[in-house]
Amino acid sequence: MSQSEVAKLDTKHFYMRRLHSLLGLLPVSVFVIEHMIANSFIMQGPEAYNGVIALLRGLPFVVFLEVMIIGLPLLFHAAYGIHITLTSRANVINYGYWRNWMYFLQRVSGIIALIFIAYHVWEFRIASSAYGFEVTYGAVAKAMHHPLIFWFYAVGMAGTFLHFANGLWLFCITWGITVGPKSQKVAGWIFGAAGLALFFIGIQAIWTLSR
Amino acid sequence: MIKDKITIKIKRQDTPQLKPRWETFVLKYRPGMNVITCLMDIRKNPRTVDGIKTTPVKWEQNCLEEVCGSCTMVINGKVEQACSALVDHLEDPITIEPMTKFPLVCDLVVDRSRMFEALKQVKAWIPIDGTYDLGPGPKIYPEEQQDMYAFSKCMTCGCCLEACPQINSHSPFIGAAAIGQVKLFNAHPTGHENAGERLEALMTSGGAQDCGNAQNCVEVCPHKIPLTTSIAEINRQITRKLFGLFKK
Ligand code: SF4
Ligand code: SF4
Ligand code: FES
Repeated sequence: MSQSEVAKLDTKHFYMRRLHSLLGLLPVSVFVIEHMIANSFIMQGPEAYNGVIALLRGLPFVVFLEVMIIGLPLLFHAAYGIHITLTSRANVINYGYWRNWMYFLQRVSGIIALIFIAYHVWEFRIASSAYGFEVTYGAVAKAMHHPLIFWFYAVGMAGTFLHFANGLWLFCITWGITVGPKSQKVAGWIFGAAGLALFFIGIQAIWTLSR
Repeated sequence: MIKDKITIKIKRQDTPQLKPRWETFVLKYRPGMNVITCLMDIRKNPRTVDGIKTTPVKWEQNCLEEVCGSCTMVINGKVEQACSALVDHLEDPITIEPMTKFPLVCDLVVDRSRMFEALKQVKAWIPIDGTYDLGPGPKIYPEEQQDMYAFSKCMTCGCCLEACPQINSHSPFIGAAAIGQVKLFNAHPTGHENAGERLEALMTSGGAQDCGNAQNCVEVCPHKIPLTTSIAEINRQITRKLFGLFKK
């Protein structure tokens, strides 16, 4: 078998990369949308918020759903994302174009999002279940009163939503949905606006909680 | 202010094994100078600014009109063709380095054969050899010709690889130029016969999936080839192929 024939068989990386793209889109959008719905109940006061949390926690097969739909896909996305990051060599200093910066920030924000989500899941899902403290409006509000936690959440959400919004933009190219520069520009505006909106909803939530 | 002197800093290296060194030259300014004429002036009298005699700087050139790509180097931190890099448009002092993403040969000369290998890997040609006359090829509409013409201007210069953050020793990525050529040859009615094979080549390790969409390639391509459009287009063709929708 010649060298080129060996290379021809090696499509593993291609499928991993496409899977990485898919598993970035699906679990993260479920995760983000679920959180944003829950957060929007903050505006209706503590009872409404506690009600939604109880409802989500009470879903049948909740642990199974969390692990299979969000946990494992996200873990794969994070692990393979780190691998991808390690194959890049950023060069924004010499080539400071807008998209090159976004390429760089996509990798940085991915790391921020990973740290943020890991902490968040640990604190308000795993640790709370393990040590049996209840996640309620009061408990979350108490955490947000701490300025360090507040700012950690603000930066974490900025990174997560930047990664999410730009990730959607990248998804559209990876799958060949947006091909020309015009459609890519329009997609950029749409996802940019969506990312900003999510960020403001998130900030509004932690701001309300920290009052 | 009219400048009468220009300063040139060149990164030099006699062999791939030796350490690189910087040499500075001061030249008399003439209107209309470009980086190649600077290198020629240095060759006439290879003496550094300190008056030390040195060897003439080695570089590659051929067409001198930005169509062959052989004179590509990194000038003031950005990759471009030396023959079309006008001194009047460059900040003084001018720094000149070889490209960093290709094996160095000496001074400003690098070995770009990986780009030729890439073209072979993706079968960037149209097989029309045979035992009988195939007759005239199919007609191509002018709009399609225009679309394809843009990609036929690629001169394998390497700018798009040099500026790409996904091209480095830790990544097997093939680079934008070859993907653009797949777009070109897949678009050709006769070339389309091998379209599937070209896509398969771009699904292997280092294929189209390794592009990170930094889109530097399209910014630096001297012929303004819509490389990022071809990358997304090839992604689309591969997606269609995955779902069995890609017609050959
Ligand atoms: S695509 Fe443009 S930058 Fe890349 S090798 Fe061809 S001409 Fe050079
Ligand atoms: S879009 Fe970016 S990562 Fe992709 S080939 Fe062009 S420069 Fe490289
Ligand atoms: S000498 Fe041909 S591009 Fe410069």
